[in-house]
Amino acid sequence: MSVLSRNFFKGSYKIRVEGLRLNQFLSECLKNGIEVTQIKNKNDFTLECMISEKSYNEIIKKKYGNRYRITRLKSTGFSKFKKKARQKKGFAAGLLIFLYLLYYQSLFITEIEIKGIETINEDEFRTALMEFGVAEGNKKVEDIEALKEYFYLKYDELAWIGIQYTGNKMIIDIAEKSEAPEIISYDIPCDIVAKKTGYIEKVITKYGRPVVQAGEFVKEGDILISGIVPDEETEEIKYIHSLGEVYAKIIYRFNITEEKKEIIKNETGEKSYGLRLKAGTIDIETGHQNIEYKNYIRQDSNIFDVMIPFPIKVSLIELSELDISYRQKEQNEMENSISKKISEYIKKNIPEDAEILNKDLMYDEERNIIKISVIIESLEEIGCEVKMIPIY
Amino acid sequence: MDIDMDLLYDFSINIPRVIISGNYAILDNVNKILSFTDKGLVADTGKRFTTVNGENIEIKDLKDHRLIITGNIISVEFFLNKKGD
Repeated sequence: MSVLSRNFFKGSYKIRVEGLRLNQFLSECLKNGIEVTQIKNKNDFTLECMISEKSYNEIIKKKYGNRYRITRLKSTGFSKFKKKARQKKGFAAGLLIFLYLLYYQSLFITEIEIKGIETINEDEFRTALMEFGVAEGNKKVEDIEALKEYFYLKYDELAWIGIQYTGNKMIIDIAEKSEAPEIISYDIPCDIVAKKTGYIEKVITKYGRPVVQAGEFVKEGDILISGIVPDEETEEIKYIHSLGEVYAKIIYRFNITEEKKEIIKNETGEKSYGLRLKAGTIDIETGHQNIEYKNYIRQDSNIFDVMIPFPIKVSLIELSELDISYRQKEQNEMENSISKKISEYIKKNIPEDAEILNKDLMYDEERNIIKISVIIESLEEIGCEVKMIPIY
Repeated sequence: MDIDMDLLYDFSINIPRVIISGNYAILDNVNKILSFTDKGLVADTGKRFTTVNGENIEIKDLKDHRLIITGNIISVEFFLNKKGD
């Protein structure tokens, strides 16, 4: 520790020593091991110096007080603050409470950010967090490894999880596993099973016993080509890895809606402003009580937003008046919009290699809305290999 | 410096030892301060008295038989002590 910082914590006094033979005073300090710093000779009978508080109280005052006139000019260091704090007890108590609150609030989580979530439901994930005791407003979890283990056990699809704190914010990074299709080895017996409900169009059996025929209706999970084959000679049952392709006609039914009128929102140019103050659970807003706008857009821009030491947010509210009008859509426009919606559905739900056989649209008008019931027939390969569980 | 001189320099506590660098002087083995003004300082450093002369002389630190002197140092002189060594 340097002399400066050592003296700061010990506390020191600047003193003026007046008298004859000041050199003797310094010599005796030297002899008694008293550290004296910043000695300035003012005149033949006066010198000023800095001396530690302890030395001053224990030695200087008692031993040299009668030989020299010693005046304390000022005190420096931590003890000065201590003394001041003693005099201003209310201030000191407030400062201590503030420091304690600052420390206390740092023990809690104010925000949880989850990154990289894709297939896992975020609400479920947050509920799982809450089950472990992690939520906004709760204390920070110290055993992060235990939390990670909890998630690895709870979610199989989790490849990696990283948890860290930045201040009071908890950041959870997630990497999910990409699911690889299950490849069943040729020496493992399996059935070919329907992955969708539909009408069989064609069965191409390469290996195994076909169970269904063209024209039959099958449900999801029904066996199409069985891997259980009786031996023609011995009549014993053999379990084989069945191979083949099964094509079926799949029917998709869905509804879409299209509005006849388009809403046009135009800003009139009239604006009104207000302020919003949010501190903890207190939420005060001004400005929108007296406005007479029928329709308006509200835009909040933050002026001041802090979480630490307390969550305080001040924002400017801008209310812009809107003039709402309607426009009748043209037929072409509606047709384009409907076909776009159908294409989007097909892209999302029907495999790329499927062949669209038929498309039926049924219109139903209701006030300003047109309801369209869509039926699509497609030809798809619906067979999927599923491991057989032999019965012994 | 041969080894005798080296040892004498490092361990002898009864001879003056002065290090001067710019406006700083470190004076070791000080037993007593005989005189101190802003023009100079005389110290008993064992076998000899040491005088540091200059202007605006101040003692920055005084501890463990060591003085750290600051100011415009002009000269350093050594005098024999009373014993006439």
